[in-house]
Amino acid sequence: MTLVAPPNFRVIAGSVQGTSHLRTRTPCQDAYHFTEIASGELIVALSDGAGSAAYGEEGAQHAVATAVATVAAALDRYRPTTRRAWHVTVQSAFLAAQQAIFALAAQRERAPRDFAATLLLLIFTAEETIGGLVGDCVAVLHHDGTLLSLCPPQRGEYANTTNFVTQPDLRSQIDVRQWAKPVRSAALFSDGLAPLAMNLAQNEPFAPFFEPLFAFLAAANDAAVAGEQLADFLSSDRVNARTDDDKTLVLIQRIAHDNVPIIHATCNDCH
Amino acid sequence: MSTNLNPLDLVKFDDSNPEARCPCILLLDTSGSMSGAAINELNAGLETFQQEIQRDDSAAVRVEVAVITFGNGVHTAQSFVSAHQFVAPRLTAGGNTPMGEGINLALDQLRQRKDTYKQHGVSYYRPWVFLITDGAPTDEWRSAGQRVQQEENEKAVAFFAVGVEKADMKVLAQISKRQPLRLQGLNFRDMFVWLSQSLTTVSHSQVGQQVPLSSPAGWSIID
Repeated sequence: MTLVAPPNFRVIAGSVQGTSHLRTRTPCQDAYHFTEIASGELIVALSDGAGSAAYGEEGAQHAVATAVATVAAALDRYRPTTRRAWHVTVQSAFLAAQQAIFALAAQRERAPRDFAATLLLLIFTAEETIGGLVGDCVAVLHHDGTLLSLCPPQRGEYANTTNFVTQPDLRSQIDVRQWAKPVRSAALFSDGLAPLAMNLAQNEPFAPFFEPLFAFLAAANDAAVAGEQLADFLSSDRVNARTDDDKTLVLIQRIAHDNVPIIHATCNDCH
Repeated sequence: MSTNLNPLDLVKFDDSNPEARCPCILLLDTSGSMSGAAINELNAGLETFQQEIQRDDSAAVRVEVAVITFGNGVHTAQSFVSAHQFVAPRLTAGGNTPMGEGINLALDQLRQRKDTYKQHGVSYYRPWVFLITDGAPTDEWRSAGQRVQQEENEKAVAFFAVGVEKADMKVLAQISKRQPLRLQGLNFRDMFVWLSQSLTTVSHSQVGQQVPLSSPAGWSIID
């Protein structure tokens, strides 16, 4: 899966099934979607379908598609300028994602929890980055040589518990954060990669994980090759030795305006 | 793929995150009535458990085992160790059946273990207590039973009770919220194989996954 967005951002993403899902023949339950809108903002969503949900992958697909479309439509009408306004915009995207899953569940005559999924939503503007999280996906921002994790992953008491957009108390679980500076690059990933990429207790990105990835992204001049390389990396033995969960990684880089974007692509073939 | 250096080979992984832990306490009746064949089969079963739980590399690191016995007082026969370090103790039987005290000690030790995990930033799965008895408590057990019910309701513990031979299944049903199971004869081996497989499954489970346990029908009877 190789995607390079038009003018302002370069995006390369990979999503591969975990070895435990291969064993149990469950599909990859991660999904992502992104779009760069005409006014220049990049909107990216990542979701991890719950392992216990029979249709977690479908819940994840609906969540990312709905969240991105909701923000894109909102920004088309109105440009938030205050923290409060961004908060409302992000919150409405999560609530729309929940409604989309509820509608799907009703149509299929299943319980919403059968479509349970987490959701991470990022909006990159020229001035700042806004993030919203329910669950345990991670967004790492790269700014001025430092790395930071925007929203702390939400974990329950136990290792296998977190929050999902299908929860009745969704509104109170949405963690909205704002980073009031433009970022140079960013990485969004599902929890399967978190133990490799982060000090989990401190919510601290592990720089030797990200630096080569951002260098790789900056040097990528063939989107197809870069995407294959990323997928190969995600399904490599050394990654699988450390995690048996699904793994999705979305790499984002702001393209300097004097650079010509390498390839124009859309997210039609996203999960 | 080209033969050039792959830049992604340079990606390094964080080594600071401890493996998630899956604590399990075996809470075993070693009262006088367990003497003879029962204690011998239980000891053999514990050896089977040791072999089985060490078979899966990841489970051997993630599962932590402790053994508490009740009979001639309550004793910690094995404090928490990683499954790969677990050596099956050889238990002897004698004395009465202080099950209530044993249950309280097990729940206390789990609470302490969780505190230790939290202090060290270690994530963990819901702990298990696996109670095996062939009799009825000789001490005050009702308050311990209430505590089990409460902690089970709070999802603080998963408490399983197994009755052997003449065990008082009615008492076990008042202690354990989950339906107590009666062991088929002295088939401890198959029970411990099941326990090992179940803990292995739990220790592999991922976010949002409710772990479907395999049926205990191979070793148990439901009264």
